[in-house]
Parts: sequence; C-alpha cells; structure tokens
Amino acid sequence: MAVKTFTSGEVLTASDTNTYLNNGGLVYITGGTSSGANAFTVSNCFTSAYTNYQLVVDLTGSATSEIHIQLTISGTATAAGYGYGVHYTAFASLTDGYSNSGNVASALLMYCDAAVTRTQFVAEIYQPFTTNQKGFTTNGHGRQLAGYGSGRLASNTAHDGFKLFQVAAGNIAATYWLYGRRQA
Amino acid sequence: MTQYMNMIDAITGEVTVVELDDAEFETRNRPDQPVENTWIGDMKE
Repeated sequence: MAVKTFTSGEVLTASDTNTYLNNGGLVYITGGTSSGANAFTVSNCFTSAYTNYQLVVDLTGSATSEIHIQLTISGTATAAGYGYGVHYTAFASLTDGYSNSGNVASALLMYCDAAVTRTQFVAEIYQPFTTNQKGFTTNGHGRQLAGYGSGRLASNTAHDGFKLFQVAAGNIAATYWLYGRRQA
Repeated sequence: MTQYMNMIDAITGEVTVVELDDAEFETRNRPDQPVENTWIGDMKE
C-alpha cells in the first residue's frame, strides 16, 4: 500500500517513514554522467521491480542533430523495430514541424545543437523489462525548439538497459536520472 | 572520426569505454532513417 492516512495524534514510526515517505511515486534507481563519447549505455537498470520508468536527461551536443534511444539487452542494443513521431515548435518563429519514421533502428527523443546551451527532456519508458511491446513518450527542448512525441519498440523481449546517442558523429556530455514508477 | 560509447553498469557503477565499429554506427545512421532530412532546412528559428 503506497498511501497511508494518518490521524490526529498518531505517532509517526520508523516503519511509516520507510514505507510511506521514502518510497514516493517515483523511486530513484540510478543516475550519472557521460562525456567524451557519441553514445552511452546504462545496463542493469530495468528489472521486474518496476514496470514503467522515467528518464530525465540534461545534455549538450556537439552537432545539430537528434538524440535517439535504443533499448539494450546485456549491453547490446536492439537496432530494429522502432517507430516514432515527434513534433516540434520553434521558439523564435511560428514554425511547427515533425519527424516521424517507422520500423527503424532507433527512436527519436529530442533535438540538440552545439550552438544551444542545453537539451533537456523527460522520457517515459514503458514496460522495457516485460514481454509486451515497449513504448516511449518524450517532452523537452533542445536546439531552439520544443519537442514532444512518442514512439515504440515492437519487441516482446525483456530489455534491461537503454542507450542514448547523438545521431550525428561527435560527442555528447550528458547527465541522466532514472526513476521507477512505484506500483504499490 | 572514431566514435565511442560509454557502457555504464547501473549496479556496479563501472564505466567501460567502447569503440563503436563502423557497422554499428552506420546502422543507426542508415539512409532510410530520416534523421536529418525532415526538419533541418525547413525550420526557421
């Protein structure tokens, strides 16, 4: 049970704290940094403990490019079966647009540009460790635009990690935080 | 230019630097993936 209703005068115990206060809706799993590389892979972060996950990313890219995701199994990326549709709105004009593709090697999450200080986004990752189809939603900004969209990986195989990369050659410097969505 | 990937183990924290071979890098950038032709150039910032 994830929620407890306390009554007036009730004593807050260590058990209450450990059970109800420490375990919020999002439970931190792992986080870190990556630099000096075009891509980074985080392994052993998806388990049966959680079904759905939230990934927060803050990065700087070295090129005008896209940031894509692949799911991985024991460090090896699945490189087929992705589809995505991501819309964007440019900050400095009324220009809207989108990127979309189906049955490709990776899924677009956000746009980046070396000329813009930061790319920041939140990506929900649905059911990576289950035997159901996997999904993504993304919302953030990079380059000079806001981006939002979703995608999927048509695979029923459990994946235990993810890989983020800049599509164009060059390195990214990223900080990431991964949370599990508490289920009970 | 050689591309690299950082392999991070979420349990141990160990980081291993891996050189991406051409095949892997090209797989992600294959021509049928419209990664940079559907928005760059038609967007006014």
